[in-house]
Amino acid sequence: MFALHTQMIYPIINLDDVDMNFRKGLLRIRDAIVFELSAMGEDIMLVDAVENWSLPAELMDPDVLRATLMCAAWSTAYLRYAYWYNSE
Amino acid sequence: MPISQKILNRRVVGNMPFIGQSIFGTPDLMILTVYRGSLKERQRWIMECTFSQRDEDATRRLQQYIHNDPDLLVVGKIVIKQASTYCSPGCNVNLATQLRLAPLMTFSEWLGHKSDEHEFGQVEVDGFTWFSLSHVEIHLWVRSPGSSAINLDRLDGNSYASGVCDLG
Repeated sequence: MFALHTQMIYPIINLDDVDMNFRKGLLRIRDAIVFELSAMGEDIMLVDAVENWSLPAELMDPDVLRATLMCAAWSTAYLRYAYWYNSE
Repeated sequence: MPISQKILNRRVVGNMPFIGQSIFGTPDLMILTVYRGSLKERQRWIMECTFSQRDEDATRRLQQYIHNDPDLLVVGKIVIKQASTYCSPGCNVNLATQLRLAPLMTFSEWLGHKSDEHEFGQVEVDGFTWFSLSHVEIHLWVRSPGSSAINLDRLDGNSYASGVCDLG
């Protein structure tokens, strides 16, 4: 994804593959839980409900990621400033 | 997931100890699950984040976690790269003196310096670049069904994926 504003340069974000792997990872955890619940002899209704659980439509939102990075950059920078101001 | 926390407690934790056979560590992020009546919390997913450390160090830690807990289903690392190595204003005597003349800014005052002219990930305040982000990489490995343990050397599309947030 690429977007250019008049002044702000936004990052190029390509997270489709990793987003897909995130989904795959969560489904692996779900499948492991289904297997374990069955082995423990839990109620079949519960096992089925977990087995039929599907993931939310969007996991990694580029806007959220961008905003989080921005917050982190500004707080890291402030910590550097405050540390320098108080130390040297 | 439609299952009560009382039956299966699921936790996402940061900086909690990883318990292995031969090592202990504190991963940046873990997903843990534990069944009702059990004391054994399982480590399902581990994430490491590197910023000032080297990328390979994070991979080595992930390797140790997998070695100690082959049942891990997902591991990943987030690599935050800076555009340049940070050096405090102490390197520049004039600038350092000038910055010290003003009282220490509060965090709110600091954030007040943010303007639309700022490039993404670049924090410049009082003429000094305090932080400059180059890009962020995300690497993720998922254990394949039926396989023994995650292999970090395997970078094929079946189990591994990476993504990048490029700020350059």
